[in-house]
Amino acid sequence: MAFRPTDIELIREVLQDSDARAFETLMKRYTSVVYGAALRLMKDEENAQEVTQMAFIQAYRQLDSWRGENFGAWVTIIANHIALRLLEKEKRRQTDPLDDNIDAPEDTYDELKEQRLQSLEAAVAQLPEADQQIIQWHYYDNIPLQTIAQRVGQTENNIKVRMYRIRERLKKQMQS
Amino acid sequence: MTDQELDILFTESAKRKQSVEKINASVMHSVRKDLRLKIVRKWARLVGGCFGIPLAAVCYIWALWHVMAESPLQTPLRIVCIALPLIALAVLSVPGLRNYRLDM
Repeated sequence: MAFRPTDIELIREVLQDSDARAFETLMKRYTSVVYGAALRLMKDEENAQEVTQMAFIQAYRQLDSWRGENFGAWVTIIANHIALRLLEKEKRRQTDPLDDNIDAPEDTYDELKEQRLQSLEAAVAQLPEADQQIIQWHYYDNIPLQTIAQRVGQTENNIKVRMYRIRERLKKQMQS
Repeated sequence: MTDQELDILFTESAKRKQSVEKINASVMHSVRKDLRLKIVRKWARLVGGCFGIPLAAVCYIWALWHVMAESPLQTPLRIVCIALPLIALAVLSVPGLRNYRLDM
């Protein structure tokens, strides 16, 4: 099993060795969660991205003051504060009669879709590593099944059958 | 859940992944910039400590020598010239007035 450093170990590396890669590893663990939380409040993808970026940058700059256990929860709290501040600002701006003509951002948030996306991510994470790799290649990198078959050293039909089993497993996990 | 729904979900998930990667890239850009600045500041402080402070001390002594050579004994100006470096040293030795981060 691969060694997975804890949040505290990674933060120590960032603070002591100024290691940017350690922070990148740490951030990749929680970006999706923080982005989901920001999206829930902002209801707009572009603003949620901005809030997530601001939250991680702020967390990086205040890293030496962090005394918690869960880095993700801390950044999520920072993101919530930033989002609420921005929403408050937006609300005040909208009550200003001079800005009446400016359109509010379109509401692109869907709670059900968000839940399903999170359950899909969780279901994929539970798959064996080799199956996760196939999902990554096919759905996220858009690699055709024929190329995947060559990479894995199996026939295309074998990969199709394997993909069918993976999909059935995912559906079952998501329904439960 | 149907196959079509799963496909739609995977498409959405791929889009989400792209957004997350965009966020990561942007944050790392800022983090690396901060790190570069931190390194520059560290070296500037070191160079300042090694050369700047001795240079300032030499300039001060040179100016002091001129003032003392021209002014009569026990004038207020002469007392101030001698007292100033002593006050500066005293201030540096007071932990409350010193920046602790420099000590680490």
